[in-house]
Amino acid sequence: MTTHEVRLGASFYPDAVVIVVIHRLSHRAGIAPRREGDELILTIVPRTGHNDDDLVPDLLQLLSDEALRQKLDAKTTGIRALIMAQLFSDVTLTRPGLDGDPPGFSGSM
Amino acid sequence: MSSWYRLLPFQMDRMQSGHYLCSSIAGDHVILQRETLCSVIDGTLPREHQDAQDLMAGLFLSTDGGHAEVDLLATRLRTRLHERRSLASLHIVVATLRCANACGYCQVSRVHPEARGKDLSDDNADRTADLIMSCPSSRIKVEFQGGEALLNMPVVQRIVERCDAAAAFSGKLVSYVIATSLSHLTDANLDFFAARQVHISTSLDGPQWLHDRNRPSPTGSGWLTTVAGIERCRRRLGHDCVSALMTTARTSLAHADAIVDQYQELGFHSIFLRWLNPFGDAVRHRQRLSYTALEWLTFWQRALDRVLSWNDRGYPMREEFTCLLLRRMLSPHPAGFVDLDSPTGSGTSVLVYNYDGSIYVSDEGRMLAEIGDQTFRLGHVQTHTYAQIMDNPTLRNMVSATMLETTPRCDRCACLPWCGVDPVVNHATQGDIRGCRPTSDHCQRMEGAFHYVVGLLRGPHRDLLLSWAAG
Repeated sequence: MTTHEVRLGASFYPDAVVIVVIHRLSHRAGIAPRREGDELILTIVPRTGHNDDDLVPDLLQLLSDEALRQKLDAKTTGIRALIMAQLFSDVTLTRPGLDGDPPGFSGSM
Repeated sequence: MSSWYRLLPFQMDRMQSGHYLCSSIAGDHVILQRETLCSVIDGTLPREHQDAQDLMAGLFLSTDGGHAEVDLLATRLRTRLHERRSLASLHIVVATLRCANACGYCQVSRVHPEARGKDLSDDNADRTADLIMSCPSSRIKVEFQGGEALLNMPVVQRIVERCDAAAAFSGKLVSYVIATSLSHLTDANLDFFAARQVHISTSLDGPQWLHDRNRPSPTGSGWLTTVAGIERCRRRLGHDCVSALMTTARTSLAHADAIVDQYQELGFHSIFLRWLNPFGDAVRHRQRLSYTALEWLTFWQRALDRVLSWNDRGYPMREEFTCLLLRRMLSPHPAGFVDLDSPTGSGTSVLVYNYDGSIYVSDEGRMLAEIGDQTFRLGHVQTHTYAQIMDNPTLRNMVSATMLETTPRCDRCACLPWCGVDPVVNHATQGDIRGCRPTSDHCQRMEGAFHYVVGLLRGPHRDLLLSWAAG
């Protein structure tokens, strides 16, 4: 059985990134992660027919992309939630004053 | 150092070229180099950067704190979802399972033309028509399928007449399509189609040798019969009242140019390059017929390039799958194609009425029932109202499971705003209506197709493709 082992700097790739990439590559390989000190060690067992030269480079590319994607998510999660809330809201959530009664008018009139 | 812009949420994926496809949650897209993408996310993109204008126009960046952009993105997303509220506008009626052809990839388990008990009865036909006309859509399309629908023409006529009578009262617009091999076409059929404006949809897999190999007919060449039938229909009904669909078998993969050229030679101005679905005989004959998503993508790209080359030579021609992709990418309207609906269009925009009166969420759901899996049966025309069908727990579960925004992998895919999912195919191929993206042929096919079209939109055929999106 052919296996590959990839050692990376643990601090660059949090678990959330590694798990997503393992899921994305699950049709090509089983990947077992473990952390030893400052290292992230990925043991890769290719599926039959997927032991190609691109597997490890693709893994590294996906890790890099996912780290970038999660950085983007961290910066935009709040505003994404606000857009979704606004989508289903009958009033504006971004400028609440616009939904109030104009000056001189009362809600009880 | 504070940035001159605020980052708005978007999805991104690396393309084969090494560039990154980025899509806003409203569906606009840009293509960026990696270093540009990194600086965008880091907040260090210079104001004068060549991509800055497109990023602001596409609602990837905001310069005023984001209030206006939040409102705009929410409004555009609401518009996209609002379009999905048009319930069940396509109603597929299986007039009979009987058919003389022996297509290797038949998805409906057809039966012999002399078989009994496989026709839609008059009683069930009447109830079917009543159910169709009770749905709330103001525009309704009724599509008759088989087997060979022409083998039960009295029921086709009965449903058309009953729907037309109801439409005259309700004001709804009803259109009709009949899917047929044209092998049993009579002048009386044509008179009826002309009188009731019934559109013809037939199957044509390409050159004669390929079509006849895929679709063996007991009467000799099915291709000759179909081509002669197309001519008769065009003469009687008009050139545009006949369309043809091709299904890609393994044999077809190496003949993309010949297939497109055959359509051109027969005077068609559109072709729909369809892949094989994993149902019916297509499963039984998998070894001989099937292929990978990647093999189909290669075939489709080659054939699409051929279609574009015919346009370059002055012959207007469209590829219908590409039109659906473009419509999803460039407009808020649903494609009218269940593979591109989120949440699912199976059962919500399409309903299928089988020959025995059973109602299914889609043609694929009906195909599964033919091999004993009744998961997607919603009821029966004699016992269920339209409201009861729509309130079916299976259907509600399907809808809630197919919002791509809540699906792992899809939720951050660059194709998220454009893509869709068919829970019936997921169930058939992966045993679960939600499905698993890394092992999904659908995912690989759609992602590859969207990325290819994005590339084409940056090339010399951009204006032509924009006209395809417009319809």
